[in-house]
Amino acid sequence: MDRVLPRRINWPLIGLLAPATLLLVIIFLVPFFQLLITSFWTYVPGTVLPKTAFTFENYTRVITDTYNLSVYKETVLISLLATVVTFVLAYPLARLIAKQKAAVKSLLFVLVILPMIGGAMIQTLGWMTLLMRYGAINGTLRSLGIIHQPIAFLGNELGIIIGLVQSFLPLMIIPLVASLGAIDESIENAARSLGANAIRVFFEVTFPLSLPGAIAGSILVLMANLTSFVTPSMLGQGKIQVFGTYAYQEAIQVMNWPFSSAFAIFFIVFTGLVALLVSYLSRAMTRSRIRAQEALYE
Amino acid sequence: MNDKIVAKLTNGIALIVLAFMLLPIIVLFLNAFNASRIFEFPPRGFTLEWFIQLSNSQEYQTSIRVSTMLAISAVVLALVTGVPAAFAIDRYQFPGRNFMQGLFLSPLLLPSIVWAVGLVQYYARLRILGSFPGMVLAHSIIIIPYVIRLVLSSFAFLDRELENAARSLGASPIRTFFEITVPLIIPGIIISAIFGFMISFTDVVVSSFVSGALYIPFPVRVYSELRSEGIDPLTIAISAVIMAAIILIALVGEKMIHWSKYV
Repeated sequence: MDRVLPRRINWPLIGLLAPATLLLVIIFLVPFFQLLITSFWTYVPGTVLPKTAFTFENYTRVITDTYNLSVYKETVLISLLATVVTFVLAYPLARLIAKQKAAVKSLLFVLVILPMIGGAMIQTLGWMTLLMRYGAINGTLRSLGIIHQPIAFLGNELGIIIGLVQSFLPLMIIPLVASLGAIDESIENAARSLGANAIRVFFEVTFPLSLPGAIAGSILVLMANLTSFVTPSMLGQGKIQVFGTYAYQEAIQVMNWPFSSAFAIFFIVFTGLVALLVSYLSRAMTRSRIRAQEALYE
Repeated sequence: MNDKIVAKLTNGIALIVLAFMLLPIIVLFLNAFNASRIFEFPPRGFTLEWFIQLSNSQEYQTSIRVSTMLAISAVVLALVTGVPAAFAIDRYQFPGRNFMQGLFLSPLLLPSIVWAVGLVQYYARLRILGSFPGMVLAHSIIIIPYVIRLVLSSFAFLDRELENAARSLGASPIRTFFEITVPLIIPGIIISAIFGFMISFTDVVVSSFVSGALYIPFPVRVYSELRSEGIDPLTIAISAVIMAAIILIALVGEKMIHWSKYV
């Protein structure tokens, strides 16, 4: 429609953009500056508002405190494990969905997205009733005679990983379905008619072609796992401390705002670096794979 | 190995994964009718007791009312600001266009828990911590990215020829916008409104940071209850009702406006 010359002030355009921009700047961006500033202030125990004396103390604690380091280790370990499990589980389901006709596909899509739109609280509540000491899973296993003592799912990494995988599977499945659905079936058929069996077709044709979706999904899920709060808080029952639960504890319960601000800044830098590293590594992997295949067919 | 066996095996695994994803939801539905007061498995018998108690519980009704009001207000604010912004991004070429789009989507990309740590301090300074307007503003931020994305994708589906036809038949740009463009992007707006409502209604992270003692949204109530007292059958019953509503909306929405193609 209207092509606008950049130098003239375009009032309708400004009018369209201004409300959303103002809202985002005032409510979304300014709090990040607040974080940055408070992270250099001094905490006074017993009061909420910190002293404005400049200090690096908070960052020193973020980086060197051994308890904090164990929290990072726990968070990264749980998140990586959950991401790998999510990927492995998502793939067959994404493939099944991608192959369906439109009507079935859209029904499956709605079912798959339910854990996401249902919200973390309801999913976690369901998991708690399933995973409790006398919950549905332990009850079923016991009545079948498979176990005699209930398995402890809550208050440890196992329950958290189960909860995280279920909550964030949609984030992996959606990009995977898009990637798998875009693959031209004649390529797979060609490989098959040349004598490759199903497993070989999958690893040499389907899987490499689905890598963009797999990478996008993995990054989304890894980030979601690293920044999760409700699932580790409820299923960990306060016994497992990860980034999210620790930030909540320091900001809301201890009310040490300078430290929680420094922690939050560190956290966002850390997750940003992880995302960059993962996308760099996976792109490098894809490239070397393509090169290896080109060398093979030359 | 035989190709057919491999295919059957992977499809079997896929269905197990689907069952795993829906397991907590299914169990919630079953438990809502479980007769024992203390949570027990296997269930002791069928009852509607919890649903009857629910309709008499002031506390639950209040938190549901707070969540509903909050979600509606936040959706309205996100639509009023987000739809014009999406329109501007779709129709205008201007310097910093990509930057603006990035800004509008950023609440989806940056971890909300980090933002919440800053927001609680910021709100405390502005003296709006725990206030209803403060909560509405915060929730509209987490909804805006969805509005922008869904409305932008409905602009992408829109056939520009219809607008051109209206213009060439003598309709003014404003008339064309309201009579041709808006009706065509209505599905995108409805979907983002419903999505936004669900996001706000089920949010725990942002709410548990900025809600005070006066307005406690439903998920925050459940969260603090589970941390202190354990599972109350009423909580399970009400969560089952909410989940049933979400499933119904999702299925009807898919049937009527095929929302999955916008995601």
